[in-house]
Amino acid sequence: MEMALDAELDVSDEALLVMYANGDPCASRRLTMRLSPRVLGYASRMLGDMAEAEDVVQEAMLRLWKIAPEWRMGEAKVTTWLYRVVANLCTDRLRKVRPVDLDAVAEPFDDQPGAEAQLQSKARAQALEAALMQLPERQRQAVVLRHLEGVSNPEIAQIMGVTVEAVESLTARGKRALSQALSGRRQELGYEDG
Amino acid sequence: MTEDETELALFFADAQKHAPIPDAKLVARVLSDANTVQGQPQPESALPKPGFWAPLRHIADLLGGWGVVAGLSAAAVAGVWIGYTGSAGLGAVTADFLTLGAEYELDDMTPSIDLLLAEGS
Repeated sequence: MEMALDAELDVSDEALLVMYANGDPCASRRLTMRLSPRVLGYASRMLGDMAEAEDVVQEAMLRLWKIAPEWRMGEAKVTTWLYRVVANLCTDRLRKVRPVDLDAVAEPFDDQPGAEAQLQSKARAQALEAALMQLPERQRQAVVLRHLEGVSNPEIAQIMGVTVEAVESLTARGKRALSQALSGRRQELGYEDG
Repeated sequence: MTEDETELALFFADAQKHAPIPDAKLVARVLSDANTVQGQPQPESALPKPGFWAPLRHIADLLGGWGVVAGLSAAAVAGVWIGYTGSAGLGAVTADFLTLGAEYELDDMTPSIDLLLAEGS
């Protein structure tokens, strides 16, 4: 299902949050449309389970709504704060939970009939998801934020509570491990053809 | 970029293309929470409590910040200090002046008739 993106990019997340706190009835919808896809992607890749990721997103957004009246403009980016909350919620769940079920990892997306190329592209995405789940949690966190969510290294450092150098190290090690895990699957996943 | 990195970049691109999208149920759950929280009266703990220094901070802001307040305070203290310690010396002068002043009358300030007559002769 395609969702309309928030087209009004000129209004910052912070401003929308203040508007929400002041009772604006539209601000919550715009924030939800803007922020929930980002944190859902992050949570699903951290947890490898869509249902759990959705619960985390709901909980994180609930905390955002509650903190809105106390939000101080200029102190932190809303996305940084939210990613950090999601990171903590995911860590809590990963500590409680279970061995990773790779079958569950391989199906984070809705099934949509499509051309072969589309299926191959999805297969590659799923292969990456599965490989990500094999990484240590901190490496996975850094790689997902940097290379899938497009977050800058300084912002990742804030989210993870480490230095920028540590983020670079985690990302580099994570990418090396991913390359090893995916090596040899290029032909199988159709890159030779494309 | 090495071959490994190039290959990995392709995997990342595909994963981004297939990023999960919140479905209508999740959006409804999130918005329901938002409406519930927004409808609640703000708890007292969430209201910013004016601190002990809040009134002073307000005054300091009006004056131009704590730097200005520090300067004004220093000037005020110096004034009080000068007032107490310097008043002894000045007191002697003013006492003399007042004492001397008490010995003069109004006619002491006007020239005598003898002087005026002497000028006309």
